Amino acid sequence: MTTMNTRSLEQPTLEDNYLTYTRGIMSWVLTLDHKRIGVMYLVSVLGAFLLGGVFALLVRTQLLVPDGLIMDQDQYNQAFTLHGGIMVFLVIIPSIPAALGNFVMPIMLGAKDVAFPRLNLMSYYLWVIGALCMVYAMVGGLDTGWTFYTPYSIDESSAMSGVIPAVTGAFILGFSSIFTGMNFIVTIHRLRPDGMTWFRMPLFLWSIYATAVIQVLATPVLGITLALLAVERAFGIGIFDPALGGDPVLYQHFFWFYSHPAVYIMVLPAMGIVSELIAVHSHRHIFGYSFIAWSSVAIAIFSFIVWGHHMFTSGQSQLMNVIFSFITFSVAIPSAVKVFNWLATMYKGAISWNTPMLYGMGFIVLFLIGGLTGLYLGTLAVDIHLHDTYFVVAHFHYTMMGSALIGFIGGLHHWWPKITGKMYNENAGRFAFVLFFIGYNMTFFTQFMLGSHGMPRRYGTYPADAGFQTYHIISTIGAYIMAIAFFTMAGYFLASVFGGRRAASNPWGGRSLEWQCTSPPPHDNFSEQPAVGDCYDFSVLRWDDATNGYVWREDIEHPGMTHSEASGE
Amino acid sequence: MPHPPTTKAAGARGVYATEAAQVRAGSLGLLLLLISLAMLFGGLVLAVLLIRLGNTVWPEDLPHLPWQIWVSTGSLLAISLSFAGAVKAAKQQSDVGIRICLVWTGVLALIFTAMQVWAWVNWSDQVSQLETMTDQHRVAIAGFWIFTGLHVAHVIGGLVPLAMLGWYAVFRTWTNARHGLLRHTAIYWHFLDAVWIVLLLALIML
Ligand code: HEM
Ligand SMILES: [Cu+2]
Repeated sequence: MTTMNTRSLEQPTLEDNYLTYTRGIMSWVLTLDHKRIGVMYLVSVLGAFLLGGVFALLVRTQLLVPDGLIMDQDQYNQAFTLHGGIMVFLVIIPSIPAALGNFVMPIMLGAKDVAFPRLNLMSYYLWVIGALCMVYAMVGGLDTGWTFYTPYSIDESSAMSGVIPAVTGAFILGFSSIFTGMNFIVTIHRLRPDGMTWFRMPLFLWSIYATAVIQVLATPVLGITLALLAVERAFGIGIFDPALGGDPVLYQHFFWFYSHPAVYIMVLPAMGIVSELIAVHSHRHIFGYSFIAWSSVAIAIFSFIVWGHHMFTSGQSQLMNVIFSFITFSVAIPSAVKVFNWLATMYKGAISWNTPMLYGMGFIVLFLIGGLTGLYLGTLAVDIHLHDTYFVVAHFHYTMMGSALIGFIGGLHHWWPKITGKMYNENAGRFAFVLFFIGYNMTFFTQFMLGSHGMPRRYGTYPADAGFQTYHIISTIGAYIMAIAFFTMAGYFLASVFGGRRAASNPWGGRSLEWQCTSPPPHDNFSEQPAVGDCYDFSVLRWDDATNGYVWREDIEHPGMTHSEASGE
Repeated sequence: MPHPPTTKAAGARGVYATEAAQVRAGSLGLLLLLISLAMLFGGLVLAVLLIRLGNTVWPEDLPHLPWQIWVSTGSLLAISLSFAGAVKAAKQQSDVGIRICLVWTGVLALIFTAMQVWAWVNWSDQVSQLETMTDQHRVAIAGFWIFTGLHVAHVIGGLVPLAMLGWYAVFRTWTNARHGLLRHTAIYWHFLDAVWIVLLLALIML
């Protein structure tokens, strides 16, 4: 038994932090603290990631040989459906906003919590219920693909009984996401302290804000679409099923009206994280702050008017096709604005090759490939050839995994010291990144080749003489390498919790407010209102060997709020 | 028995500097909720109407809209008025005015709900007497159920704060701290009213 006294002797700054503030399982289950809710999301999302990853490995293993190695066709359909459904609805959409966003957003803003802490906890439990529905759907079986296209999801003879639980789950997850978005918008509008003007907000907050707008506007449309699908399935009402007089293309319009904006729900927060990673680890003022901020908003707006590019081959009118094709190109502009600004920030910066920075740079490379291939697909004539091939699979993995997930993993490395108060092994981190990056490109770059050579997506077998197998083998080996990389990460993260070096308040040299409170942060985030400055002006910081972190320079006056390490208390 | 402070800052953690700031946050949250619900109902109406327009032949022998619907429409409109009255009475610090308006609103809300349920009985009677049942019949009939059902679900959501307000106005002394909740509940019911008008128009077109 450690008494209060000895504990504080051993670990002086651990005393009042959000982890130790109250104890016992109920203090977590019923917590209203945004940091704890963030951690609960984090653990849950990572658990779902493991499950989705298992299905991914099953899919890849199947494709090692032309006739399929381990599954029959029906099992294969289920494997890729569950992989996609879990990764999209349970992992990527909540990963950054709900897990990392919940943890850091109020602190970055200088607030004590989100605007509606109870609603925040409710969002989390909605996620849990949605996840349980998804797991239940697995038992009944689900083989529609993550898009639940009609008639696959309706037709009695083929659709499996997991459809209703799965769409119910996605519906509930949708509301979890809507409430999180509402909460974040109100927080950013109403809880900004004095001095935190819109254009002093860290760029991560801009991107979270733009994301939240999409969540609030687009997700209800998915909700009602899935509800109608469930009604149709349960009572035989012909809304989307042609056999009952419904219109399957209408389903696609409604689905993509949500799901194209949803891809920006996934990637915008990652772009926000990358803006932080690049600036902090280059120790250089972010270049073109307001361009990056506004481009987030522009992307959010554009994202609502391009959904038709998913439907070029669905039989929608040629005029619509041409219009959607043109508007699709315009999305590339704000995306490119961001990339140029990140590169300009790194140029002449003093780059620290920390693990989070590697992910930041990895993001730029992978998003470039993902975004540019999006333009190929947005080109009407090219898409007719490439639609529903592995080229599309490669494109959206470069954007969803190579960009959105990488942003999340990078952010996790960046804020891990803040969340846990411990440093992970930096060399292990770099090693895992390299492993991941190699495995990633082996897995997905080959799929561009597969797709342009005509390998369709969602097939569990392929002709032996079509020249596909070599690519499939490389792709599968890449997937195994990625799996090793992820287990390595899990290993050093866990090791750091139990035996890691204590993290300083500011291990990387960040200037946004979360680096001004202790690691881990205290229960109330700030005891006094922190003074807000230019959160990208790093010139006021210097490295301090004694604490293994950055501190305020003595020759520059601190604008307020006692800085525990700088004052050397 | 003294009753606890009305609007405690969330989780008692002092997230908000003042109570007014908390009400302002609530207003924005409500606005976002309503925008979100508007997208939900808008999507629903659009989907069903597009199916309707996509069908060139549409059955002639569909059930008639139950007469109860018109009574409930009237009471919903009256609810909006009496809520406006309550908000005005609150501004004028008239406890009696608030009490009368809220009790009225409660009665009207019960009438509305009862009429909708009665309309459902009427509707299912008519449906059971239909001689033919094509796919188009099914869509039209289901449209009625879905529109009214989803709307009633949101009405039930609005009954909760209404009951709280009514309880407070009748059995307690009114304090200004309740004004935020009153205003927000009123706005929510105005929204239910507007949504209902749209749904009703869509039902007539079906
Ligand atoms: C420069 C930006 C982008 C453009 C121009 C673009 C364009 C496209 C086009 C035209 C398609 C349809 C291909 C087809 O099915 O034939 C597509 C599919 C897809 N894109 Fe993108 N995209 C972009 C960025 C993103 C981002 C950032 C994400 C996700 C984070 C994303 C996720 C997806 C997904 C999930 C699909 C396919 C869904 C499916 O059919 O299952 N895209 N993209
Ligand atoms: Cu799209």
